[in-house]
This record gives sequence, C-alpha cells and structure tokens, in this order.
Amino acid sequence: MALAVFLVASVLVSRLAAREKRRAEDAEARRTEMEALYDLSIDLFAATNRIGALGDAAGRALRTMGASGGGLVLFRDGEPEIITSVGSGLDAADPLLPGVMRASEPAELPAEGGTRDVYLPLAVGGQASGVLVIRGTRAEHNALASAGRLVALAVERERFLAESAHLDALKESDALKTSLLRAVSHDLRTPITSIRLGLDRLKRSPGAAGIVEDVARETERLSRRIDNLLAMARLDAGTFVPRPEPTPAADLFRATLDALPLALAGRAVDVSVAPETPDLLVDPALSVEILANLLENASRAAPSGALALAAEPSPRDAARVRLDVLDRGPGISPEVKQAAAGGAPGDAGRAGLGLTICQSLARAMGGSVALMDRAGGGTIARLEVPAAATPIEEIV
Amino acid sequence: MTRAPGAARILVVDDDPAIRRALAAELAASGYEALEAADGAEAFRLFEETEPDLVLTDLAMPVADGFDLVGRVRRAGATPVVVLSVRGSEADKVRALDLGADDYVVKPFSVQELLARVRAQLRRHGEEATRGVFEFPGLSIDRERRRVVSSGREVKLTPTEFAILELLGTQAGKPVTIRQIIGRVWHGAPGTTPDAVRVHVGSLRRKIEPDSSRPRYIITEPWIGYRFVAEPLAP
Repeated sequence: MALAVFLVASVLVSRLAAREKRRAEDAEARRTEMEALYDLSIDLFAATNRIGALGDAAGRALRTMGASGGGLVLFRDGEPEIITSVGSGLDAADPLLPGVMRASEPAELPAEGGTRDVYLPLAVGGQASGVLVIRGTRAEHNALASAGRLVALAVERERFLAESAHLDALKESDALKTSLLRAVSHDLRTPITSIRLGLDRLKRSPGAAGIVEDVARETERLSRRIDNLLAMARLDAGTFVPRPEPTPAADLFRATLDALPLALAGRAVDVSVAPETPDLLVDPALSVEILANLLENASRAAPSGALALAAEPSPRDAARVRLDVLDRGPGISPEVKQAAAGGAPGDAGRAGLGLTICQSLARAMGGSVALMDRAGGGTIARLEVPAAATPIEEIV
Repeated sequence: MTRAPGAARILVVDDDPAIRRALAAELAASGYEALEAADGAEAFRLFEETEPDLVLTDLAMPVADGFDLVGRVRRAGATPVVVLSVRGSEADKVRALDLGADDYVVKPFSVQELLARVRAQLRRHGEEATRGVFEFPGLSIDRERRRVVSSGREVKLTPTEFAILELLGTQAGKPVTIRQIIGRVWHGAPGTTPDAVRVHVGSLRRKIEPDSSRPRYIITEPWIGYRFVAEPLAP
C-alpha cells in the first residue's frame, strides 16, 4: 500500500515537474519573443524620421522572427512595389500577395523543416496597404502578428512623413509667393509715395501747377492699377482670400469718392441708397477698388454730365444688392461689349482690361460686374453683391 | 513759411530716406518743426531727448519696428502717434491702434491728407477731454444730461447707443477699434461680438444721420471699427 502510494505520488510529481518545465520553456520562448519584439519596436521608432527607412525596418522584423527570407511589398494604385526582398525573397507576380492584401487576412504555407511561410497584411485601422512575407519562421502567431503591426505602423509613419514633407514644400512655395508679392508691393508703392509727395511740393512752384495736376492724376491711376494687379496676383497665387464683412452701401460709396480725389476733380457725383437696402456682405477694400475703377472709367468715358452712384436691393434676388455707377456718356463701345460678354481682354484694349479685372475681383467675393445701356443715354456699370443677414434690432 | 517760435514739434520716423525727407520738408513748409529718425530705436532716443508734440511713424522698420515704438511712446505718456501703413494691412493697423496709436494714413497718401490728420491729432490732444457738452455741426452730445440733439430735435438713444456715440464723439477724428468699443461700452463683457456692435451702430446711425446715403458723423473703417468724422465746433 505504502509502495503504491509512493509510486502514484512520484508519477504525479514527475508529471507536474515535466509540466512546469514545459511551462518554463514556453515562458522563456515567449520572453525571448517579447524581448525581440520590444527591440524591434525600439529600432523602428527610435530611428530618425527619414523617408526610405522602410526596407531596413522590414529586414529587422524578418531577422527578429528568425526568418530564412521574405520581404515587404506595398501596393500603390493597385500595383505591387517590392520595397525589400531578403533570401528566397519575393516575386511580384505571387498571387498570394494581392489576395492577402485584398482580404486583409494573413495566410500561412508549410515550409521546409517544419517551418512556415507567413503572409501578413499590413493595416492600421482600415484597408491594408501592403504585405509582409516571413519565410521559414517558427515564431508564434501572436509574435508574428505583433511584428506585422509594428511594420504596418512604420509604413504609416513613412506615409505621414512623405505627406508632411509635401505639405512643407507647398507651404514653402506659398511663403515664397507671399514674400515675393510683399516685396513687389512695397517696391512699387514706395516710389509712388515719393512721387506723390514730390508732386505736392512742386505744385507750389509758380507755372508748374497745370503739368503737376496731370502728372498727379496719372500717378493716382498708376497707383490704382498697381493695386488692381497686386490684388489679381494675390488672388491667383492663393495668398489673398477676400474677407467679406457686413458693410453699409453708403460707406462704400463714400470710400469710393475718397479714392478718386484727382480723377473726379471736383465733379459732382449723385449718391443714393434706397431706404430698404440691406448692408452688403463684401470685402470692403476689394469693393471700393471695383467701384473706383468703374467710376473712373465712367468719368473718362463721359467727361461732362452728372455721374451717379446708386444702391438698391436686386429686384430679382432679395439676397443680393445692386451697386450702380451711372453716366451720361456715349454708351458702351462694341469692343467693350464683347469684352463684357467674356471675350479676350486684349481685344478690347484698356477699358476691356479694366473691366476684366473688375469682373475677376467681383467673382472672388461672390459678386458680378455687368455693363448695360442706360435709358436716355449713357452707361450703367453694375456691381451686384450678396446682402448681409439683416441684423436683429435691439429691443428696449 | 518760417518756423514760428513754439511751433508744434513732429518726430518723423521712416526707414526710407526719400519719404522721410519729403515728409519732414512738407511739415516744415507747413510751419511745424520736424525731426527725423530712421528706425524705432533712434526714434525713441530722440523722443526722450526732444519731447515732440506728435510722432509720425512707419510700421515696418529694420531696427525696433513701429509697433515697438508706439507701445513705448504710449507708456511714456499721451503724445499723439500717427502711423504710416500700406493697403491691405488691416491687422497691422488694428494692432497699432490697440497699442495706443491715435490714427493712421495709408501709403500712398497726399500731403493734404496727412496734414489734416496731423492737425486733427494736435487739436484733439490740446483739448480738454472732460468737457460736458460736445458740439458738432448739426449734432450736440450732452454727456451730463445724456441728451443728444440732431438737426434741432432731441433724439432718443438707448443706453448702449448713447455710450457708443459718447465714445466715438469724444474721440472725434480718431479711428476706434471694435475691441476698444467692446472694452469701453460693454466693459469687455464676454460674448460681446463685433456683430452686436454693428447692430447698435447701425441703429444709432439711423437715428442721428440726416441722410443715410451720405453719413456725416459715423463712418465704418473696414475690418477696424468706426470713426466719428464731423469736426467739433469750438467750445
């Protein structure tokens, strides 16, 4: 009896010991894998942020998993691109590659000496972007999956690096455009400021007044043209975005008259704002620029007779306001009509160019410019712009 | 013109020598004493040494820019500062005004325009700001009785409208930023938006402007705020 008990006990003990030994071995193997994965993760993410390090990352993952070969393939626009290939390596025509990639599911094939060839889809979140192939490995599933995730993260990081490098390049080119335009703007305006100040001094010398007036008026025009061209260039370069702001029409008209002290030279301009006209939702500087161009054109086209600025809600669209520049000149020339209808600006000469500029500036803030014949003779140049939301009155 | 004894002294600050010389010559021709500095650092030294009556400064300068100068002049006292700016730089203007600048002119400007601003600032500075009644052509603001008379008839204003008119009227000729209005009228109450200011100014204008097509008193300074433009009558 005692012998039997002893035998049973010793069998049990040896079994337990064997189980413990296996457990210890498993734990050791897992510890080694964990350590290897940890090392791999450090290698992958402590590496400097540089594009093109993906091949090294995949090579390290393969070594960590004790692979005899394999590699990394990424799919760009559905086409496989082999990033790295080690040992028995990769074949871009391997049908398993697109299969694993599409299914986003790993695949395994038995290989020499009881090892496996493992195909891991590389995905962070959504659709896989590539496949990591690990040939001749004995590593455990979880370890392989972890290695796959690490390489997937490295792929994502490289993608972000490439995107941010692209963005940096774009930003740099924007910054270059902005600083160029700033320099041009400063370089063009500084001499004009000097010329104007010099002319103001010259005006006081006897006999020069008439000539000086002409030069001063032309300088005013030149200055406005430079403003026009700079505004166009900025819009074009995307470095200027119109900033609409609720603005009363009366303020725009006043600023327009202020912008043309010499071109109007004391000419009367009738100003009227229909009582129910809402505020405008416009970029004020851009609107004044457009109205000043239109009013200057009107004063040149109609050297005598009253000029007028008029604002009223658009009868066709309650959300828009008409700002009209009216003259009693000879009306619109056929060339300008053609330019107004969208013809090439060169065909219509100066007036056409000015009009084309006005139309572009107006479009940039959701407005439009049109020319039309005025009943009783003359021209209406119409800037139509969005109305601002009607403010709620304070209740007291 | 000869320089009158006791003429106002104006410090001109611009890094462009041609503009600086031309401005100084024009101011001298109008009877002011003009001093020149090429950058903000030199300007502040001259400012402390000579105590000018007004500072006229460019904003973009290589050594100590105009903003820096505006801040230093304002910390030193109430000397009026007019800044020279370029078109399209509204953020710069607002920044200069919030730092304590009194007005700005936009390049290219005419001499008449500049002299008008300089005169307005010198006059404003010389005035007693604590007057009880402000009189403008066609409009009077009685600060003590809180009464406003426009074109001969009394106008009923809400307390907010009156506070805005009082602020703009006592600063006549000077652009007042939206932020300054919110600060003074609403005492910076959180949640006060530029839109709220716009609504009150809109209804104020409808009450005091005789012809809304041609505002005589309050004009909008796009992206900046408002300016009361009527010339005050002599007290």
